[in-house]
Amino acid sequence: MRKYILCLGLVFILVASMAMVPPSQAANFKGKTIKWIIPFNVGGGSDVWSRLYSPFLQKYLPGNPIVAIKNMPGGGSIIGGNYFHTRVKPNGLTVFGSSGSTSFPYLLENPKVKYDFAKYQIVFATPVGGVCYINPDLGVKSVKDLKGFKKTLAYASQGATSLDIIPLLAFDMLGLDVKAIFGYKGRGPGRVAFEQGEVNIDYQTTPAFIKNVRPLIEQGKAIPLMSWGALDENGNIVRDPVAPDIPSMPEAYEMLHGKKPSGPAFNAWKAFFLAGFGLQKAMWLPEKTPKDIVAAYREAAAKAIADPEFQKIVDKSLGGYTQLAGKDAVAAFNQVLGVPKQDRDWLVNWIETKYEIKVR
Amino acid sequence: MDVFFQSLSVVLQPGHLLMLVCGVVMGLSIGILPGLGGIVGMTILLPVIYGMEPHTAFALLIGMVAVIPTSDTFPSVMMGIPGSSASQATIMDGYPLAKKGEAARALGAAFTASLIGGLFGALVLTLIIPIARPIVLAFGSPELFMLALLGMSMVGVLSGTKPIKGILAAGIGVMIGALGDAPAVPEYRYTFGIDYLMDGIPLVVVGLGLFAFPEIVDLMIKGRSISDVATLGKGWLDGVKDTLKHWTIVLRCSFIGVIVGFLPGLGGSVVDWIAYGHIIQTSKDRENFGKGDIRGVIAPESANNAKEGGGLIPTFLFGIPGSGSMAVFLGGLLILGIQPGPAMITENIDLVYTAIWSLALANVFGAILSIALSKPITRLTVIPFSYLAPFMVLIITFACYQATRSWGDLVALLVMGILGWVMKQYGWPRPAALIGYVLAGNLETYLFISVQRYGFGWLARPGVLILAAIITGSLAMGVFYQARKVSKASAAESGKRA
Amino acid sequence: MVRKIGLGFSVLVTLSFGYGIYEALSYAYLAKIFPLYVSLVLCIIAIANLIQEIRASYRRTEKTAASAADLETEWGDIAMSEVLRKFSVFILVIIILYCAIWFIGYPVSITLFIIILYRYVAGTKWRWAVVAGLAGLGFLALVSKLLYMDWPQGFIMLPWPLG
Repeated sequence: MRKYILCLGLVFILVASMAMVPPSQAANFKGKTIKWIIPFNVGGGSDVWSRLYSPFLQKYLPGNPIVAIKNMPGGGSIIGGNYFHTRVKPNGLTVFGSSGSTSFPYLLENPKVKYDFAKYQIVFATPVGGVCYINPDLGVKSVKDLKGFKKTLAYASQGATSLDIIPLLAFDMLGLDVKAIFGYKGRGPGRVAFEQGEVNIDYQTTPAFIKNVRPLIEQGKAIPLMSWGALDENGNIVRDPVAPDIPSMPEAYEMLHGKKPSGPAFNAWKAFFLAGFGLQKAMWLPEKTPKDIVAAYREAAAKAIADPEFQKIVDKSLGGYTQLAGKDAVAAFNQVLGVPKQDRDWLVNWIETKYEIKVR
Repeated sequence: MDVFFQSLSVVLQPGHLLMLVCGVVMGLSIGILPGLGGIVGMTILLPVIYGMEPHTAFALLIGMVAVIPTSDTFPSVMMGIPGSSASQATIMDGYPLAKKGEAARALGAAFTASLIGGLFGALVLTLIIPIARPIVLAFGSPELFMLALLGMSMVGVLSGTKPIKGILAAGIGVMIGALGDAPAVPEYRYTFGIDYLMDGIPLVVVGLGLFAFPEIVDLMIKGRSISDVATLGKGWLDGVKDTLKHWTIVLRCSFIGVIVGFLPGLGGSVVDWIAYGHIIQTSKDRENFGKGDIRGVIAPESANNAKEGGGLIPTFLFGIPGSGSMAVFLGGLLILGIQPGPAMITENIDLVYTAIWSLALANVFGAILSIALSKPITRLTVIPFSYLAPFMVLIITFACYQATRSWGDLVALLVMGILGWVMKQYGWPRPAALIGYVLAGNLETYLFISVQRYGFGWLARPGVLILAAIITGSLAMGVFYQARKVSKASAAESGKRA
Repeated sequence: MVRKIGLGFSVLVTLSFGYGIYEALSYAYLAKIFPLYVSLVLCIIAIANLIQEIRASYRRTEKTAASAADLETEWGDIAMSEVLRKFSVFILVIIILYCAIWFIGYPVSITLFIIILYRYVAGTKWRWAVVAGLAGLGFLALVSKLLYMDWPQGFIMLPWPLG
């Protein structure tokens, strides 16, 4: 009798525990609203990016939830990032959109940063490229002529810890003497300053370059030098596919120094280039998000990217770059994280010494 | 030329006109509330256009942008609350008029001035577009610094009998403006470690704190109504007639508005003060400015609508916003797939003309609608203020909270409010503080860039010298006038005694 | 008392610019130039102003004259001390409002605020006060729904649109 009750009890416990484990379902967001935190102002570049993506995400996420953009500007996007890190639950209902200005303070270990991209799950990323050009009055006809170029150049900069790390470090690596003029509020004013003659070397993101600088080149008012490049599947930096006639930064380096770029400067440059351009804008899910939700998001992103309607938008408003989703984005981001700390420290030291500011 | 007519025909299509009117109505409904005009209003309204068909959305967007400076006039006149974009100088004479019971007249004059100013501005713009690029390019950082300095020199005009307090008040404003992140370096100034202050105190909070809060308190203490006079005096028709009488002022200031509004990043903040200062300096009888001189309403109002049109130029041609609301407008364009930039002048010039004339028409709708609304709204100036006060508190706390959506906004509002009240009671001119605050960032940035780039050589540039001459001239005129007034007064004194 | 506050404010302004100088010295070179020099000049002017005010208060010739520049109220028949008293009361009320918002959220607090003020300051009957309060609440509900605007939430979370 006792044995019988014991058996029954065990079976009961077994069955009960199986009933308690929720049946594993595929993620479904029917009837829900997804909150997409954008730590920038309405109308800014990242805001526009998110709003171009959101209708397609709505279309392809299971259950067709509403994707609502929540702007949380402040502290150069640090406040929104911190909010995402400390307050958001990993239930797949809130996601985060970052841009270069979010990832740079993180990589530079700014003490105000609480967020940690290494812990989040990346869903997709939007790359962009940059092209550098110079005033023709300096006698430089192409990047080769910069070999041994001695004159001091002026560059319109937003700040030594902004995306401008990429051009400033690149100029330094190429051996150019460039005086950074700080205080400009973006690349738009930088381009105007170039046209006014206030500065004589500048870069623009590739879509802006094609639209606004190519006409200047045709009028003989600018000379293209190099693009930063783009990442290929093997993790190398190759020519920017949107500006294939212009050499990439590593190529330019090789032209001027006779060997391929390497060392802590280039490693640091590559990491920051990836964060700031190769993966400039990315969507993230919080740390402990269940695998099926992450998979659902990545799949939705991949489908959105494959949608021909969306491809038109990419060509028109996002520069025509191949968007990265799922494991491509993961692989690219791992390259950013993979740069050894000492190289990042080298960069911080370089900024602090050259520009006399405290980064950390 | 036929591009111009082509775009005009687009503008006059019924569908387009309908969306313009919708945009105007939406913009007006939000902008009329204190603190929700200008950039804040645009930011709130912009998401509405997402997902709309580009042509319709474009008209809607322009309608909203056009009516912002118009709607800002209501709180300026009714309670002396400066708008977050344009109608700041209007408070100087608009509010005193409301206190005299002539709110309707002030509004009527303001809207007519806006209407005519806006139309004239659009005309000037159309003619200037071919040479727009060279003009904008001629204004480098040194010239923009001088222009900001010109705006600051208006503080002298506004300080009347107390120049020292005026300068100090402007200085207070500049320091409040310097609070937060430095323009070029990752350094946070005067923040006492408080996160909220990292970005500085938003304009809405400063404007509402310094002006709205003290006004609400004082009106509550007085216990009457906004208007000191029980019945409403002259009506809006008188205001319209006033504007038509001073049509030269309208044209002059509208011209100033277009030209200054042209200049990327700076135009929006200074233009109405420059217009106001200009009208004071060029008028022989200045006694009534600041006490309810209708010309003090007409001048800034003509300028600020024209400036909105002018602001389209850097936005479209350079992709750089001419003012805060243009920045949001630019975002709207990008959503609609319109990429502003130098290419626009060759490829999409029709779009630019469409925009200019849609803006002008939207101005007309906005002005007419506003005039229609002014009669019922001005009735608010005669009802006892205790009926209005609670709602005013609701609106200003709510509007301030929209700035950064954090508690800091509410606390900052209280602090700025107390500061503003004390300044008001002890004769520290708050408009000077507002100018200082608004211009601080620009002054620092452009000075910075100029010195970094040119050492001190920029002081010799022709544009800089011309602007310096204008500034010195206007300051000198002010001092001279003041001296003459004092000597006249003392002559009268001695005449009396004799 | 009144004169003292005015003087006190001038002292405060002078001290603030002094603090501005002191604080600016600790910033990185590029960030310090502007605030440092502006504070320096203004501090000097503020001291000059302070001296002038102190001398004027001894001479007692200067009235707080209204200038064309500021939107000053002339209090006329109300004594300044009364004004200060009422001002303090108002500030206190606002602080209480903020505390309420902290605890029970914005919509309920502001509705109660409107109702109480209508009843006790404007002197209307209760039902009109409640109508006014509900009008305020309705406005909040409308803009929050249509335009996605937010309000501060309190500890105690109430269902929309009360919290």
